Amino acid sequence: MADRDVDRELVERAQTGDKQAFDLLVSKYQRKLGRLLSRFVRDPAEVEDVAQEAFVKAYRALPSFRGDSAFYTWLYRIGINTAKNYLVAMGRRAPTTTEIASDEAEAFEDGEQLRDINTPESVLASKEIAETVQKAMEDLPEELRTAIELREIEGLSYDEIAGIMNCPIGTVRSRIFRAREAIAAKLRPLLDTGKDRRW
Amino acid sequence: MKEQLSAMIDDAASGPECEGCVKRLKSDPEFRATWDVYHLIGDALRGHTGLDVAARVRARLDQEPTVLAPGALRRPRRRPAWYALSAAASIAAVALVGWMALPLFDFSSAPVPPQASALAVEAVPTAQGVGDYLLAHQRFSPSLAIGGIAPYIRTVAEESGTR
Repeated sequence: MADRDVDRELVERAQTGDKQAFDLLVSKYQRKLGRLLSRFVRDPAEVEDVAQEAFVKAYRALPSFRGDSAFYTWLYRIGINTAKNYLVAMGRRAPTTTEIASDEAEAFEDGEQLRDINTPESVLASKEIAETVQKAMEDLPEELRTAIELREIEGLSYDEIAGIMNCPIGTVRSRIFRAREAIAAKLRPLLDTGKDRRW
Repeated sequence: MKEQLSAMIDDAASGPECEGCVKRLKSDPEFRATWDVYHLIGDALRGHTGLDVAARVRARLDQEPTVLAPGALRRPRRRPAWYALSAAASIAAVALVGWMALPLFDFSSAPVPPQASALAVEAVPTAQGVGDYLLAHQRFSPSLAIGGIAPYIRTVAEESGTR
């Protein structure tokens, strides 16, 4: 089942009344959507508001989603429209230089021009998480670190990683899982503290 | 199971693995937390940090009416091939008629090799016995309903011929 199919499965479940399935999609795409919205809305608190509104709008519009595009392309389109409507309601105008066509949403890459959308009180937590992940990566055995870098940063498939690392796909799968678990073990103590998580 | 979840996130899990993971994600909070952490790790490695609205969205959705759009995204199911069913029914009908009509054929008129004819002559008394047997039991014949009186006629004809 491809990633798009996983999304499709979750959307299909959400369309039949499974709110938890939609919650999984929110968890998966919230940071990516927030990053996108920060190109339109400056204030971090407003980014949260717009992101929340975009997800609720997407949930309400689920019956009209027929899977012609990927879920996240559709979500981003809603997010951009929500941000623009928000700016209009506030008497502001979306900067044209940061407009993103909906077709480009799928290939959207964060640039350095994107602002950090952390609020001052969350900067420390975000920084701590980033440092913890980085430190955990450095502590990983080389084969695990390479596998997860190729997957998460380069976006390669298991098949491609297997070709590069000259090992079976099953080994790639195992290495990426072990890498994630090693990083997660160091990350969990941070995530368990504080009810209002911001990362 | 977590390895399957990891593979699912990377679109490298099988269909049954994904289904199992999705079911467990709904029922196991710890497993659900693993989903969150794995995605957080990926986002952190790509430099995406700073937003978590999942709890707020969840609270909003709790107040929303449940969306029900059955079949909106459902994969197109394969419709039964009606023409194939029609063809199968036709074949079945022809086979049934053929089977019912089988008793109407008189195989004794078919040309037989000379050697076989000789054997047939010797078998006449036996055939006579079979004719009597069929005459006595013809009402139990499964072909009686459609074949009607035909087997009876044949049997009577054979019987008359022997007299």
